[in-house]
Amino acid sequence: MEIRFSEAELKEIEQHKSKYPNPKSALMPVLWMAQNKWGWLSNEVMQYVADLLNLTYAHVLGVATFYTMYFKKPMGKYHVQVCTNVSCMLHKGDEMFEQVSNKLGIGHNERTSDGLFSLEEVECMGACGGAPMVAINEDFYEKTNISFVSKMLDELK
Amino acid sequence: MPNIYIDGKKVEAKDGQTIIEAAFQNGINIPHFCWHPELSVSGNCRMCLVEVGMPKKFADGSIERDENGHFVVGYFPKLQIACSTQISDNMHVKTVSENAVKAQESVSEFILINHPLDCPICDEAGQCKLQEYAFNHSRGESRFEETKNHNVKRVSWGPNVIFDGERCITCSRCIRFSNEVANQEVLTFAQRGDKVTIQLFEGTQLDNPYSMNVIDICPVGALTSKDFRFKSRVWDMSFNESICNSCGKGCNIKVGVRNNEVLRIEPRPNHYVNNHWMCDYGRLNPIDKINEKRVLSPMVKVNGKLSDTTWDNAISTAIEKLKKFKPSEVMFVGSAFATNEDNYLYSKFVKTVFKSHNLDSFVYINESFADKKLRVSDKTPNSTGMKEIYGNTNTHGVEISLLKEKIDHHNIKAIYIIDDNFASKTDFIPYLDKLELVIVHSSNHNAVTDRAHIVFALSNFAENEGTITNINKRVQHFAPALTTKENLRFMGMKMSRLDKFGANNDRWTNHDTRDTKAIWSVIQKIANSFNANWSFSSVKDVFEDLTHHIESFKGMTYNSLKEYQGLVLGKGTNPDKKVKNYESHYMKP
Amino acid sequence: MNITKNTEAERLNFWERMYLPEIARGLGLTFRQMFKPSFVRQYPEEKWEPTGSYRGRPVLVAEGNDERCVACGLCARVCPALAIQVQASETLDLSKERFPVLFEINMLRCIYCGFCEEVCPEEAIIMSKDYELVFKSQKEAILGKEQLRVPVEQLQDRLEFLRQYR
Repeated sequence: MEIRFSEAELKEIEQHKSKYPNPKSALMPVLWMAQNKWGWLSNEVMQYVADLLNLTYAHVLGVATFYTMYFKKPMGKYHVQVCTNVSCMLHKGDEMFEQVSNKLGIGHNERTSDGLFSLEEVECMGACGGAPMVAINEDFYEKTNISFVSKMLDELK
Repeated sequence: MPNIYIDGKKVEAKDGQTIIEAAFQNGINIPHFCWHPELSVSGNCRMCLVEVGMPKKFADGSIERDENGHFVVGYFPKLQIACSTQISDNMHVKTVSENAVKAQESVSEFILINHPLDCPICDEAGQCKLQEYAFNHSRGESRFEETKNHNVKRVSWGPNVIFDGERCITCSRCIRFSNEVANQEVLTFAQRGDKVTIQLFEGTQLDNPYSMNVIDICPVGALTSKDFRFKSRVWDMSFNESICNSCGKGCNIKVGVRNNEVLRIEPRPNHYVNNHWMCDYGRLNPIDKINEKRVLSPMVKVNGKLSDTTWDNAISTAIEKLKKFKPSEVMFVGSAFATNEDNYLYSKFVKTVFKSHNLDSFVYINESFADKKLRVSDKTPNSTGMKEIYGNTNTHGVEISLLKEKIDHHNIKAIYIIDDNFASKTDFIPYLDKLELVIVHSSNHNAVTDRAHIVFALSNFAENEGTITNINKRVQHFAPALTTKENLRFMGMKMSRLDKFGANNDRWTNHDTRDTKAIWSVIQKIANSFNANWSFSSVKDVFEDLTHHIESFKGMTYNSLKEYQGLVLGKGTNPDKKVKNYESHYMKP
Repeated sequence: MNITKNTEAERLNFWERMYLPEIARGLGLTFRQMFKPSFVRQYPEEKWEPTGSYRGRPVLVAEGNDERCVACGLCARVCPALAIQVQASETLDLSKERFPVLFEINMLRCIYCGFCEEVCPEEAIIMSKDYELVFKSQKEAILGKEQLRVPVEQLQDRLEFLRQYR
């Protein structure tokens, strides 16, 4: 697979760059674009982004590892995120994580062998009012329970 | 110039300085990990928290004073970090107040949470800032009962550096050093929070020529040297001050010795030469040269075979053989590896006693060695001083083709070499076989000593006292770090505990005390047999004589050289301003 | 000073000055001992087994093939007689970072103070019950790593003592 942004994407990057006083700051949106395009940030992707923005590889690595939402290894098609922060934990969020983990047979930050699901134990996603919450990719499911989640997962299979 | 008050003491500072700089310059130490005088301010260790206050002012701008005329100081409610708070006039700083001490103790307790208690197996122990501060600025116990974080251990960062992630306190000194000083941006913080560690991008290495400085500036034992790793505990070694002889820059160094064996070379700060740094080559290359393949005693060739002999025999043989030649038949090769004193006495012998004009030296220039930082292309440590003393201005040294011709035509029949191995002049070495007499002062066995008729065992720079002049014309003094039979416990040599208390039957005292001599002492004996009547009792006397005869060295003494960390040629009586270094254990940056 | 006063002859009474009764008394003591149980130990044949608190020759605790020692050199540092010499080296496995390639105790210097045992962070050097130290030369008195290694099973008394009283 050749790692290269399309013309349109490069144009978008230029736009991001022009938004900031220092074009270095465009790194985060560009990494996000790269992750959306290639699914995760491999070393080659990070190198490509660094060369594109004229940054050192080490700097890109530092930024990419700082934020947990940038994936440093391949993740599943459906990225299941279970919140276990205070509000969700009080509503059995941690039990939910354990059950989802058992159902999928994977732990935190792991991927099923078919590449369909990956699981992450996340901190607060700002949906405390609907605790316990589970997010699958970018969709939030609030006030959930395990039967609902397992039904969801079965449907997605 | 603004005045500030640190713990009630009035301190003069410069505009734009930070509190820690002003304090440091005035001998007040504020505990710090991430701040380093030569690096940018990062302010992430929070160890240098101090109370800062300004005098209260009235509405009209005049300063409020109490009945004794003292300032009424209003301290900021929160503590400030001394390393990035700029001073302003009449600023008051408290470094040992209750609040500041409490903050420092809390920070060091916090830093120690995930730091392993493996001082017994850590190379840094004994010179570790964290160890020091845990003793001086901490509560002495931790309230942390949970398991410590585990991290990567023994990660190779490059050819010379090993990283231990658990010991790292993420001060970022190594990152800033490699970015700002070594200009190799390969290090970065990775992850965050308690998982934070320092990483290299896969496939890159910390392999710049100055990489080992990160080991020195690391305040803990997270970065260790591959070469030195576990060789010795710091307290078993002695560190003597010396000058690097690997190139013409003349970086100031400390030679770490145990059992009369050099184990480690470290930089010593000198504002005018090398700041706090030195290159990896200068650290690693001399060690083997000093310890291995040494000429241990004088040798004379008998029946085509070199064999050990006594100094008296070797010198008298040399005199006897030298007297057989006319002055014009002997080629004298001086050396830019030798000290000013050695070269001075050598040239004095050649010119005034032996009355020969054949005095010159070889030049060793390696352009690929040079960079824009410390390394210079001149691979000899003392070419400037040697040229000054010989009074010659030619830059290319001995005309090798001419010399070869003279040897072929028997115009030159003998050669006298001091401290030179013709390393990059391999085509000349076979010509030594054509000569009737080859005398060489050499510290190591090499191709030249193999062909010599008389070999004088030479003290290495780590065993010698003397001065060398770097390419910027700075004359610097160095003292021996190793014991030889000649300098047996040189006055003022720093000794380790083992050296001090060892008895003759202890194994660690039974090292080889090499029977080597400095060049000047041998030359003096040879010259006296030619009726020179010299009576220099020490190298100090030779230097004194030198300063009287060579104009540009005028006014220099060993004491002033030591005091000013070297003097520039021609400015012996008008030295550069002294710059304060804090080299003591507690005050090291 | 007058030494003629209060001499022994003056202090003794008549019968004591006669000697003979005193000789009989002394011999009586001697003969009485013959019938008492003997407490003399026939030393070389019959050895004394010290208790755990005894500080004999310092030894390195060996567990299997490895010694516990990490060659930190603290024993060498604390030794008031400079009897110990340690040279560390790097191990291949990470669980124990370093080990002593050379560990020597000069038994002519050792004063059996037990500081090395006290300072050791790994309980790797401890005082054994070994008190029989005979050497034919100075060189022989410098014990190397092989001579110092003692399996942990043989040192249980001392380790138990340290656990209780240190």
